[in-house]
Amino acid sequence: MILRYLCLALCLLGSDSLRAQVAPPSGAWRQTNVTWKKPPAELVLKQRYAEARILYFSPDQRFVLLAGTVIQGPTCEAISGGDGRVVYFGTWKLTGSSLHVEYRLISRTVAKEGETLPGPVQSEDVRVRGSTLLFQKDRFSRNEKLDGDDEFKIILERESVRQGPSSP
Amino acid sequence: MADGGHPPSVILTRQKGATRQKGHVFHDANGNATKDKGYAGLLVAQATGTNKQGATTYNLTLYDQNKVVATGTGFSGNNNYANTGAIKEGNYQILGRVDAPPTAPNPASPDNNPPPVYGYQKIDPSINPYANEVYQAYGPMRARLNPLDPSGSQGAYFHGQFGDAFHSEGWTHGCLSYGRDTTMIDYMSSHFGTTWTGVSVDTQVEKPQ
Repeated sequence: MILRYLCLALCLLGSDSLRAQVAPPSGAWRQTNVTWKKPPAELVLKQRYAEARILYFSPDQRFVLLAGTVIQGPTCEAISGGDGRVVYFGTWKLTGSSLHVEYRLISRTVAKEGETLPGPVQSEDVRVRGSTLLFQKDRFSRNEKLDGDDEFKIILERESVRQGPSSP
Repeated sequence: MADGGHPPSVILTRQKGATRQKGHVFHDANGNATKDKGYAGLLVAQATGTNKQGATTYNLTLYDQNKVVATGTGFSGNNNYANTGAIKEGNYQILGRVDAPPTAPNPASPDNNPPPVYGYQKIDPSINPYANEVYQAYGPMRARLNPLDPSGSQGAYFHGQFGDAFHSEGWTHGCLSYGRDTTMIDYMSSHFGTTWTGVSVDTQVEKPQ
């Protein structure tokens, strides 16, 4: 009986410590709760597209939130180069089990009347649920196909020049 | 010789390997289509250099059958940023379809983005403030450049630049821009709005013999 309690206690302790240790995020995470659409049939394109948000965590703790059109083919996935996009840039920080991001709006393809850029700094906790991230009301999963997307390289490079890597 | 046995007005081929553009069949000298999916129109963009903003510059030539109907210049990308490349060279096509002008953000986008289009789209800034903002980014008309090759640019448009689009006047994120000269896209939408338009970006174009 005592052994049984010991085992149970150890299991609970183990799961608590697992919960407390969250691996640092990396690369691109794409929103999964999206609506996919197909291009016109006449084009005979083996792809589909969706409006999606993507979170990007760079190794040096810079953070990008991009909202745009994602095009998915049989073996590849890319952010549409010409469709509208909205870009937020900032930093991420992992403290214990808490993943925190600070960011601000830096560009919008189609401007909003009266909005000035950069926008105000926003602060948010990203919840980690196993292999899923919960950010605001959306669910994200790791998407390695988007890691090397030029869009993120461009944003990181431009913001390095503009503000320095640690500024949101 | 194009498919269908008629001599083509213009043939697009790749610079390397001389592979003919997929689906590219032109009308014959009498104006008869050699195949249903033939292109009446062909836009040829040939890179010429770099502008002061760092964009790759192009000479643009618009063919209607085998006749040059307009010439102009364009630009794409920004070489000042390592990863902001110009539109990738290759063969593209514009779907002969005129989509409705944008009047509101895509309902699927909480971030103010307009819905993607796959053919031509006129953008009328007088409709409402949102349409005016789209006009600032894309100009009075845009047309989707659908890549025929898997390595082609995804989601690129042939569009104008009438405002401080992307805060980047004179360069683009990879689209091909006609700047403020709408001669070509006006002709394309009015003459090829119901058929395919071929687009060659820095590929070899063989002129009629």
